[in-house]
Amino acid sequence: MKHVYTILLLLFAWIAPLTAQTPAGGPTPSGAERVKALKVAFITKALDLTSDEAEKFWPIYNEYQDKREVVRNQLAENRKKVKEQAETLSPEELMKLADEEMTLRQQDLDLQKEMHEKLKKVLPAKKLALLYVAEEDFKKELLRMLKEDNGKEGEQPNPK
Amino acid sequence: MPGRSLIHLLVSGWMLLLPVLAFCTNGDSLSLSPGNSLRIKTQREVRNYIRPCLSVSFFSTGERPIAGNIPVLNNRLKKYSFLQTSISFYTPLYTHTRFAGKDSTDVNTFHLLFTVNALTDRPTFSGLEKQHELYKFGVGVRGIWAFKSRCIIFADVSPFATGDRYNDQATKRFRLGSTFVMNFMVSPKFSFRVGATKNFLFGNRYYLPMVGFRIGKLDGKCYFQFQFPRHTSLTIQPSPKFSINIYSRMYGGLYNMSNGDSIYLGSDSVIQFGHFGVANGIRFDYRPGPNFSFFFSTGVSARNHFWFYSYSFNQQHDLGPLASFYKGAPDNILFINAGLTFRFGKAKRSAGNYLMYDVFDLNNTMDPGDNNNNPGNGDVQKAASEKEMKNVQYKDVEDLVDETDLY
Repeated sequence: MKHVYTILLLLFAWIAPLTAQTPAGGPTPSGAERVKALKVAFITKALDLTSDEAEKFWPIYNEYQDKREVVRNQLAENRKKVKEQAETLSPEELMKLADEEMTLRQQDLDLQKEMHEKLKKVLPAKKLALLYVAEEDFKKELLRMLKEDNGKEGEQPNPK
Repeated sequence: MPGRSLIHLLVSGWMLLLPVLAFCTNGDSLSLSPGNSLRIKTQREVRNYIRPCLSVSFFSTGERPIAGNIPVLNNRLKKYSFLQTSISFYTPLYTHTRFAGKDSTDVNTFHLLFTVNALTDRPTFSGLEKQHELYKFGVGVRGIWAFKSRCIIFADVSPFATGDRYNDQATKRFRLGSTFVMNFMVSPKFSFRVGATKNFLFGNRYYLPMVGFRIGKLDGKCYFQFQFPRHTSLTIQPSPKFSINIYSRMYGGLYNMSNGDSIYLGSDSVIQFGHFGVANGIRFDYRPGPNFSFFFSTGVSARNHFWFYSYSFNQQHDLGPLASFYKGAPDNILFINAGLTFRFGKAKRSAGNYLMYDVFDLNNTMDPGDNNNNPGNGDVQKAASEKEMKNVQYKDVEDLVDETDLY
């Protein structure tokens, strides 16, 4: 049995680092999870989905949020590269990154449009329109919270 | 020993193969890299909904007298206590997600998982000088297919090796546990399951139907489950991090046991030992973060039985291979049960996806190795409360912010 435990521990040691993916420059995993959970709570409240609507809506919405997150993380990664190495990269490389910025933005928009077409089939018009309002309101709510927090903590350096 | 070598070879093979599979299956086909010369890390989409999970558990009962059907053996064995330690692990090997249905709005998912389980059962008889240490080690695969927003098909195959360390060579034996279940989610508040299982939980080899239902949302404050032959439980979740579970669950197993201490007075060098009990208790789960949870549980172990079987005795008496020559019925007794669960890496979003919550619940109810230990539904996302907003930091939201949000 000692061998078995050793094998399991080795297995554990192999798998753990492989599956620990954190996007470079992105939020901390716990912070990101918290924001995602809050967003779900916020949208649920704003849309007041019926059980049938929720059953269809969340899997589609989550799927596209995952895809969009990849695009946004790639954008962040590229921008970080430009910021850090603007002086050392060649003009061709910088142009390639600038082009890539547009490609990625377009991909993000394409994903949003794809999601919109799918959601049209599962949500009534009013709720679909309210979804986009709720997404914007959520960002504003987070910013308001951050401002309040900064105010409370007094002289905080600029978080950026 | 060829058996042991084979197990080591199989596990080593998997160990080499798993990282390759993990790399192959983590990302999707979005080609976002601007070019090799720039050396920018390509972001990949997480593909799995189920995260790799390692759980460790410990179960122990106190010592009590045995009331069995052979007085001589009762006197010889004297008192009985039981200790179980278990480690189990599962990891997704392959996950496939696709839009289906007549207007492509069903998100169908298929999950293929690899499972490993190692368990030690120590039935302790105070009258024996040298105790038996029964073990079980299994690797298996399971497939879970969730489709049409309401249905799940679950299939698990767990071959395992069992034996008695008292005389490992003579007692080693391979067995196969398997389960097939269909789960139908009527609504987020109600789902039911039907299926069949071949298992050894009742201290014998049985082919049993599986029937069960759940009332209440898995991410809600309270839900009730009846899952035969696994457990009946009432779960109360006062907060996303803490849950209380009042339950009744079966535990047990069937092993080859060395007859080196002549428990059976015939010439057999190996006999069979089966045990069974119903653990009725209360369990407290705490999940400080998404990657770790632990539980403590206590209660009363009731309907305790253990059996000794002898193939030669049964042959002589024209009985089935697993008819017992001795049946012991220890008294009800207090038990303690504790465990740790670790989950690794990132998973795809599943918030509000109740079919996926049922996938998680099925996967956790049917633990690797058929021991009926439950690592808990730590992967079901509980609704966030508004007060949690207060802990949000700028770095958590910076990629969401546009300059137009500021005026």
